[in-house]
Amino acid sequence: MGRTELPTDTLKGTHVLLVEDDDDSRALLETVLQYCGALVTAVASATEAMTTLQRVKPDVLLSDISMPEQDGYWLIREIRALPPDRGGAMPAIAVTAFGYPHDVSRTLAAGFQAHMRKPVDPWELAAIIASLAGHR
Amino acid sequence: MAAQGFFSVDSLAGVHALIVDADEACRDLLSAILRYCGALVTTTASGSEALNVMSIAKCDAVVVDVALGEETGLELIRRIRALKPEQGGVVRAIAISERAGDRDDALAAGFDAHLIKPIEPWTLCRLVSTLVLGGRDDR
Repeated sequence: MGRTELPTDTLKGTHVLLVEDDDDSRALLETVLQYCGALVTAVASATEAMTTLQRVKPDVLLSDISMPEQDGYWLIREIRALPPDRGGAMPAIAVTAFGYPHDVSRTLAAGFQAHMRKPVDPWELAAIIASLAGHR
Repeated sequence: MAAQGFFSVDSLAGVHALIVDADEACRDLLSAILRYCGALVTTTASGSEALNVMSIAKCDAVVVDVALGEETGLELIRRIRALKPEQGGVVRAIAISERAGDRDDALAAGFDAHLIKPIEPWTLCRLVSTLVLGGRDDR
């Protein structure tokens, strides 16, 4: 990241749908994304995320994998079943807790483009979202 | 390193700083200073909350009041230093206290630096910059 490009501009003009059931994680990740310039819609469940996708078309999905009721695998299956103009092709990033037994090959096979483990590096997260959003 | 003098507003852009202080007013003051200089700032009131934050997102620097309350800042830094590097065990850490005499204990417990209240804002920003960005020539 060069000095000419501020981290606060990395996600300018990028709408991120954040799906995370843990309140602390959701608040912190939202703060990180907003700091980097993103427009963030944060929801606490996969079903809320699907409702949101009926209303708006975010650029990127950032979703926790382990959630009560419907998990991140369910969510990405539902999203990939949508037609492309309804968000079915949106880039998606999976987030898992440290040491949690989700392997990268499983999340990628499920339809995510990237997989990050907590604790996430805020600047790495922003760079991956920016590259997937195609704004870089 | 000059002790006085303004520090430019974007100098801490791209630095995630975690402030741990039981006193809300002090937390707000310190976060205002670091945000003014461009940092991404997270604040917590206790050591356990701080460790929770560190389990969610990596921090570049922690600024800890030594007199935290139930758990002291020294206990917190020992717990942080016991973490694996990828969990934040190597985070740069600044202790804050009211007595110069706390310095040796703070450094021995694992802090990288110690500042005495009242804190000069630009000294704090310069210290965070030196500790976190000092080795990076691309910022």
